[in-house]
Amino acid sequence: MSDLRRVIEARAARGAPRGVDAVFAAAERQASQPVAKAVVRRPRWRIGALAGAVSIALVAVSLVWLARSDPEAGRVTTEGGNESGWTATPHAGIAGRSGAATATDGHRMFVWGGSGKVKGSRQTTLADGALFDPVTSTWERVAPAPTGFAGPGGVAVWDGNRFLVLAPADTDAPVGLAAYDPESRAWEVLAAPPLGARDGVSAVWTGTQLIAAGGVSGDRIATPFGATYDPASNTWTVLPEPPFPHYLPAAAVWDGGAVVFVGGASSAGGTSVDPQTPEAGAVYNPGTEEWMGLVEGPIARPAWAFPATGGITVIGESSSATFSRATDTWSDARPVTIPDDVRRVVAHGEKGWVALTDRGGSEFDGAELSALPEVDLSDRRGASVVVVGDVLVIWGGLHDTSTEDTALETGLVIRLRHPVAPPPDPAPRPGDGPLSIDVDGDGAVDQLSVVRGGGLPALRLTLAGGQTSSLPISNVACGKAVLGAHMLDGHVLIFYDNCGNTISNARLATVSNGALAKVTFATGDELLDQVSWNAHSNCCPGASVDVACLAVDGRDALVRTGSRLIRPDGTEVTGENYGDQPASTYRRAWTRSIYRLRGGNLDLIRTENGVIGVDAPDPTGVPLRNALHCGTANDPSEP
Amino acid sequence: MEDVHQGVDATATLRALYPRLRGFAAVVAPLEMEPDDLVQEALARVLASPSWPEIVDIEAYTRRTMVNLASNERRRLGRARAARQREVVDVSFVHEYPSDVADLDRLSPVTRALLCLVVLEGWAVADAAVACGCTALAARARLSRARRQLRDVIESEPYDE
Repeated sequence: MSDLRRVIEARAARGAPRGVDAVFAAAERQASQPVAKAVVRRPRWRIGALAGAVSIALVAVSLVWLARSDPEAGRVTTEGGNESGWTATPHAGIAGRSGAATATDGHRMFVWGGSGKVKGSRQTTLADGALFDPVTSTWERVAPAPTGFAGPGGVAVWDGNRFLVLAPADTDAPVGLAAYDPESRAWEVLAAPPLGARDGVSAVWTGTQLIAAGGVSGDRIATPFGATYDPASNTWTVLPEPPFPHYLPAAAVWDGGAVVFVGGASSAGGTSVDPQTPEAGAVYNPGTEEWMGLVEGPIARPAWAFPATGGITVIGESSSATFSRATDTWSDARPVTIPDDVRRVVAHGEKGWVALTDRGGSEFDGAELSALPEVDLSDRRGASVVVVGDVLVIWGGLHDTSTEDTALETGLVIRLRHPVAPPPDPAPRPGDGPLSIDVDGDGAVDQLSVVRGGGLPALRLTLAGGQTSSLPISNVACGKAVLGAHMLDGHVLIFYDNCGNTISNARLATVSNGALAKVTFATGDELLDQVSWNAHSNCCPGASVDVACLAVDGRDALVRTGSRLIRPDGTEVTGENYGDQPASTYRRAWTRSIYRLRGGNLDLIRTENGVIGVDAPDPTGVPLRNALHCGTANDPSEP
Repeated sequence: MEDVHQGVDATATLRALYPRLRGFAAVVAPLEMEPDDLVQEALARVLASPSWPEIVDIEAYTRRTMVNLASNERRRLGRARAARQREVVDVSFVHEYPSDVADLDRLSPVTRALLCLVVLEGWAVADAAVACGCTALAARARLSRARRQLRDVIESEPYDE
C-alpha cells in the first residue's frame, strides 16, 4: 500500500460514524424544513453593479472606522490580574446564538438551542448545539435533536449522566423535556412537564429529581408554579402551590436537601400589570412536599443564588450573604460592589462566583473580590456563560451593530485565579462504568472470575481494595452474545441474550459476602448498544426468538436474594419461576421482554457467595444451576 | 407513483452509498467539520431538490454537492479565523495534527476529493472530474500539483487512469 493511499485512508476513517439511519433521518428532517429565504436570480449586470456598490461602501465604511476607532479597541488585554488573560475559543461549528440552554458536566460546556440571527434575516429558533472542552479547546457537535424540540428559552441541567434540557418546540409551544447523553451522542424524549408554555423557567437537579418552576406565560406569572420530574418512573408531579400566590422567583438553588427559591415577587392577580409584592423567597422540601417561607435576609433585591458550604450564597443589588436552612439564619453578609451594568453572575466552586460586566467583571473566591482582565463584553447579550473547572467560558451572544443585532459565533475563555476541586466521577452508567455491585460486609473478596466471549470487549472488575481483574472471555458459543449490566436509578439490570445457543461458564462475577465489586466495561459504545432497553432484539440476526432472561440468585439454597423482577410498567413479576429464588430449585426468570431487576441498594447479591452469571459452576465444585440463564435450544421445558 | 418508486430507489441507492460517502466526506471536509455533518448537509440538499429522483447520476451529484459544501465551509472557517485574530491578541490557533494530515488539509477540497476518488476508490480521472465539477484536464493538473506538494511527506505514486 502506498503512503499516499495510507494517508488518505487514515483521513477517510477519522471521526466516529453516527450511522446511516441517524444521518439519513437528520437529513430528511432537514430537507423537509421550509427554506428560509428564496433565492432570487438577478441578471449578471445587476450583480456586478451591486458588487461594485457594496465594495465602494465597504471601503468607505472601513476608512471612517479606521479614522475614528481606537487601535486597541476590541482587543483583549491581559492587564488586571490574570497572567494568562482571555483567549478565544475555536469555532464551534454551529451558528452563533443567544439564550441557549447552557450547562456543564464539570468538564465541558454544553450549549444547545437558543435563537440565532444573521445580519439581514429574522431571528431563528435553533435546535442544534455543541460541547466545548476548555482543556483541549475543542468543540464537539451535539447530535441532532428530536423532531419538534427546539430551544428558545431553554434551560439545561446535568444529572450526572445526561444533560436534561427543558425547551419548547417553538415560541408559544408547551415546554418539553429531553435528555442528551454525550457519551452515546443520543437524545431521548422524556415525559413532557405539565407546565404549558412559559418563558424563564428555572431548573434544579436534586441528585435524583428535576424540579422545574417559575417563569411567565405571556403577560402572566405562569401557573402551576412548578413540577417535579422523577427519571425512574419518567413522570411529573405538580408541586404544591408556594406560600405566595402567583410567585415569580428571581433564582432557584438546591442546597442539598431542599430547593431554595430566592427573591422575586408575587402578584395577587397573577398578571404583570398588577401591583407586585417583593418576596424574600421560599423553600420547598421535596422529601416532605412542604413549603416554608424564607426568612427575611440582609440583601436588597436578591437576584442570584448558588450552593455554598453550609447553605447557599445569595447575591443581591449591593451585598451578598449566606443562608443556612439548618439554622434558618443568614450570616456572612458583606457588601459587594456589583456595577450597574452587571449582566450575569455565575457560580465558581463552592463559595465563589464570577460577575460579568460590559468590561470584564469580577471574581469572588469566598473571601476577596478581584477584577478580571478587561475585555469588551458589551456586545454579548444572552451569551452562554459557565465556569468549567476553573475556566470561565463565554460564548455567543447578540452583537449590536448599531443598526441591527447579529449573533456572535466567537467565544472567550479565561482561567480564573482560584482553582476549584474537580467534580466527582459521574454516576455509574452502562458502557463506561463503574457499575457498582455493593454488598455490605467486611469487604473481603474471593473467588472472583470473569468469563466472557463472542469478541466483546474485555470486562474489568474493580475490587474494593483497588485490585483489578480483566480476563478473556471463553466458552460462549454465540458470536453475537450479549452480556450486559445496566445501572438504573440504583437498580441493577443484568441480562443476556444468547441467540439460542447454549452458554456455560459465563460468569459475571463471583463475590463473597461482604465484597464490593465494581464492573467496568472497557469499551463503552459497543456494549452500550447491547445493553440498552431495545437493542437486544437486533443483536442476533436470524434468531428464531427474541429472548432476554435475567435472574440473580444465591448459591445457598437457604438464603434468598431478595431480588424481584419488575416489569417496565412498575408491576412485579410473581410466580414460582420468577424473582426471589433459592439456588437449588433452579428457578429462572424467563421472559420475552427485558424486565428490570430491582435489587435495591444491597439486595441484589446479599447472599452467601452469591453468583451472577450464566449457569456458573460452583467454585467449590458443587453444581450450581442458578444465576443467569437464557436460551431456547438447551431446555425444551422452557415456555 | 412512478416518481415515488424512483425516489425510494434513489434513497436506497444513497443509503447503500453511505459508508463510501462518509469516507469521502472525511477526506473532503475541513478537519474542524464532522464527516457525518457534511454527509447530512449534502443529503439534505439533495433530498430538498424537487427533481432529485430524476437525477441521472445521484452518486456523482451528491459527491459534487459535498465538495461544494466543503469548499464553502473552508472559506467560512478562514473568515472566522481571520475575524478572531483581529479580535484577540494572544490566541493560538495551531492545531496539532500529524504532518501528513496537515499537509493534506492544505489542499483544496476539490483536490482532496479527486485524490480520494482516484487513489482510494479507484475512479478514472474523467469520472472523478465530473463528480468534482471540473474538467478532466483540470483534474489531472490538480492531481499532479497535489502529488508535487505532498512529495516531501508522502512518496509519489502512479495512479490508474
